[in-house]
Amino acid sequence: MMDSIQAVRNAVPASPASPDVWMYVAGVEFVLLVFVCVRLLLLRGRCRPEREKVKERILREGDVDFSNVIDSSFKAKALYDGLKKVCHPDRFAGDGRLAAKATEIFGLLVRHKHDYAALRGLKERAECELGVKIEEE
Amino acid sequence: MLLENTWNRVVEWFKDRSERGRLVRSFNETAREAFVSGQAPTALKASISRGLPAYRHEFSAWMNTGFRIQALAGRELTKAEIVFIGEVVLANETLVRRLVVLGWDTLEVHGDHGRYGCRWCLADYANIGKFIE
Repeated sequence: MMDSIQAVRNAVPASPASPDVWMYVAGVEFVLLVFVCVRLLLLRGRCRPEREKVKERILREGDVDFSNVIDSSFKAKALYDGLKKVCHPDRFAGDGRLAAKATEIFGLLVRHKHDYAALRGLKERAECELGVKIEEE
Repeated sequence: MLLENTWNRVVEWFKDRSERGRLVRSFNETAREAFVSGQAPTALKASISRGLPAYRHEFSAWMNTGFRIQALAGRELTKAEIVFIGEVVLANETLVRRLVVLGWDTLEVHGDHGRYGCRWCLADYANIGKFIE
């Protein structure tokens, strides 16, 4: 009766005491791999083309206000239609100061006609500066 | 150098894919919340579509380059409604520039009924300069 380890020792011929070549090969491969990884990590910033820099800059610009996009899709048109009637400069033709303010507000209205948040700000400004009352639908 | 470029492209592809998924998820979550809370009368749903090869640009992904917005209105949308939703997206320059650099080149808007929708070339509205041709 012999244990299994002893049985294996008896069955497998003893290897010569020479160094294992494959161990050295694996060691060299590992060193090469580490070298390539370190080099890639170090050079990544320097080798990046201009295109990547533009892309990173744009992605860092800040989060998109999706809530305003959704609101604008359904509410901006009605608010813009209401504001453009009430704030039209022709309605303030008799008063030069108000007409100038109305012209400025009307220009901003046209520029921000698809931006609900900006339109709400302009509505408050129109109510304050032009003294008009705007009913939002 | 070739190895570095390949490595950069692989890393970039994974990053873009993650960013694209995050943007679509964020849009859909906001649209759902707006619809459930009653702020929006119609639910909007964003998804990724094939896109139009004619609209390709410098940043275009190699496939699935369309950003599709579907308005789940339960009726056929008028052309004015579709165009307005598209114009709202295009007027948001931050969003358009982000869509462009993440590889989208086509904006599609359509409803859940009817056979018509609208398409826009995103590069025309991105204002990124020499990188968009």
